[in-house]
Amino acid sequence: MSAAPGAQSDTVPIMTVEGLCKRFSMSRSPLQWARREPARELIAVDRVSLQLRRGEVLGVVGESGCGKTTLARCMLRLVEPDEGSIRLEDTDLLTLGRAELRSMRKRVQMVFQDPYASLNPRMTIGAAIGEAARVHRLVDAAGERRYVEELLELVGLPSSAYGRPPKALSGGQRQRAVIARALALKPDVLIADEAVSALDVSIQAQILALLRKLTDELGLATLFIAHQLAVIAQISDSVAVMYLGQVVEQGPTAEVFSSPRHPYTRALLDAHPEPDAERHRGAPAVAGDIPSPLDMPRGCRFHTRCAYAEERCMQPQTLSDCGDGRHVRCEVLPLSAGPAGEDAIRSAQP
Amino acid sequence: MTTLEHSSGAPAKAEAHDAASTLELRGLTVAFPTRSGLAVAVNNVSLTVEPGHVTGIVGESGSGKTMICRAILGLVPRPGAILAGEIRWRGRDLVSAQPSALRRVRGSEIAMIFQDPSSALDPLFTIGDQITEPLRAHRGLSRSSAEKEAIELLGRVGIPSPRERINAYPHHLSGGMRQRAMIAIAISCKPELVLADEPTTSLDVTIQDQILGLLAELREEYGMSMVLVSHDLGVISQNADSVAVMYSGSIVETAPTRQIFSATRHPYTAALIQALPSIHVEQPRRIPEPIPGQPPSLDDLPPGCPFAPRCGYVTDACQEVDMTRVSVGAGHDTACPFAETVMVPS
Repeated sequence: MSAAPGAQSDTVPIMTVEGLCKRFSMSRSPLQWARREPARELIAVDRVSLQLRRGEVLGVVGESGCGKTTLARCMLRLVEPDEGSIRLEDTDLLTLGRAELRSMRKRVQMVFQDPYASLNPRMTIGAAIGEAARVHRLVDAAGERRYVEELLELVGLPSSAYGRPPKALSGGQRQRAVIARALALKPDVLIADEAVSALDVSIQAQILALLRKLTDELGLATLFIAHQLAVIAQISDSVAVMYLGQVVEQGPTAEVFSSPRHPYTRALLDAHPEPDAERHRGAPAVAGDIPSPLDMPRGCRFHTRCAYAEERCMQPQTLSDCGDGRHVRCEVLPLSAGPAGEDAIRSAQP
Repeated sequence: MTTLEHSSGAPAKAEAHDAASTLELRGLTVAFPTRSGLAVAVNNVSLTVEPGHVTGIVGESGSGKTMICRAILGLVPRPGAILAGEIRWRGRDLVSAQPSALRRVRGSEIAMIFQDPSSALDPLFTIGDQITEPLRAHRGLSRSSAEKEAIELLGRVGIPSPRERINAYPHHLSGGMRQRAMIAIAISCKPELVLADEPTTSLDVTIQDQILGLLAELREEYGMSMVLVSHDLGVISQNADSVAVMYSGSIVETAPTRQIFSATRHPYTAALIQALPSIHVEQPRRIPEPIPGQPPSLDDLPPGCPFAPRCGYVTDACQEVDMTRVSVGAGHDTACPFAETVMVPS
């Protein structure tokens, strides 16, 4: 099994994604159609494998266009993947019919980026949270209010929020309401797609603390997608770094962030402006623009911007197992673990 | 008015970087009428931007940092208005300046880089049109020499094949390239001061790094001062010489950047630093410390210090605080009169 690494724990994963692919065909212009040019293909997600475990947060980090949102949507079958498998315990979600999928969906819930767009402005907070539970017959009409109030308390909202419209709540409170709505179905898996990106720092920290607490206390398996490295560093147990549809590095967060083995991970970390008293501004960490996903570089997708690129980088790179819980898609930076390997990486710095 | 006519007549570019090109805000207050009363977006703000320096302004949404930049250039959107205060620039007050005088300052002496390059650039005009416009308006260049200069500028800001790109429309460029084009427009008239309002917020982190590097290079090359506005204390700490921390329309603390971390003297600054996530993973995990509650509504500010309702050190006396900053060191002042007693130096 080309297993994706989780954290150090040996527990059985609750959700396993393997070899997931999603391609979008671009529409053709009339001219292209007349010339019988084939439709161009955008490979959004390219053979991604992940494992989610109870009580753990798996972070997915990458820049725009790296496929992290498409990955999340595929995992709920909000878009249909082209290849691969998504297993929730023993069930392969991709083989389910509509009705079975509906009942399975309540076990995998999603929190979206924009708390302003993901709540119906005409529904009260209480109705929005209660509706999901009622539809899935987790509560009856009589018990609904009590059920919702318990959820409000769980996510740190006052019970007075029950009868309020979303516009009466601040951004942070709305995101709490969205989380409560996701939890209303007692899910096993929570997928948070840029759930704190729209929030201010002080509020962002509140939501991060809440998501971590819920993961730990309810034993949720959380997939946390973000473009901010620091947020991923603080909340996740393990991390997958994506670039142009592919996972380039995967492993326990502390290790990946302290000794990155892929040049892209290293570049991301170098580019991150760390808030501290010392100034480190030097040359930019990486040159060039992110290539268009419609016109991907051949071979290693990062080689056009990579400081370590060599001849062999023109060949496709595979995500290989380093044997220490880490996976990396690069042959040039040493793969071996241990101090010798890490030293070699450092001395290889251009 | 007299000072104004006097200074606009002189070709002052040569003496650009003397003390005259210090920007000084004194008691600046900007407000917007709302149904529930006056929303005070900028509240009695005083700030000095030293020539050749990068002054960072950091704060969360609604803290008034963007409105300060807009006020400097006379761009406060209606029905908002500058209610009080002075903006001193090269010996004159921009608040009371005539629109024509302000137009001469805008773009040529003080330029602005906006947050979102996709909405700040006009989609109907080519990049070339938009760069040559200020060159012809402010520097009086001919069409052909403006075009030549524009190509040079595009090359200078790192846009590949500028000769072709000059005919591109904004939608042909990536976000990072658009921001480079906007920087080219901003520096086209060699301004003495650039107001960069969240210049990298809509960009990916590797592109942000490139753009901030470019701004630092250009600043050095042209000897410009810069006001760098950001919600990200990380961006500020890596790029600004000094920093002003804003909360609900007021500046709560200003300090040399290093000191804002090492000798914090306002409870809000301290809470903000505590709330920041870091890329250093600590074992056991340290989740950033949230600030409880949320900022007050600008049309219903509490009396005294606006941070008091969320502050861990709050006392009754905080209602009496008038947010005038007191000095606590060289270039370092705080709006919290109790900072020295309540905050243990770290």
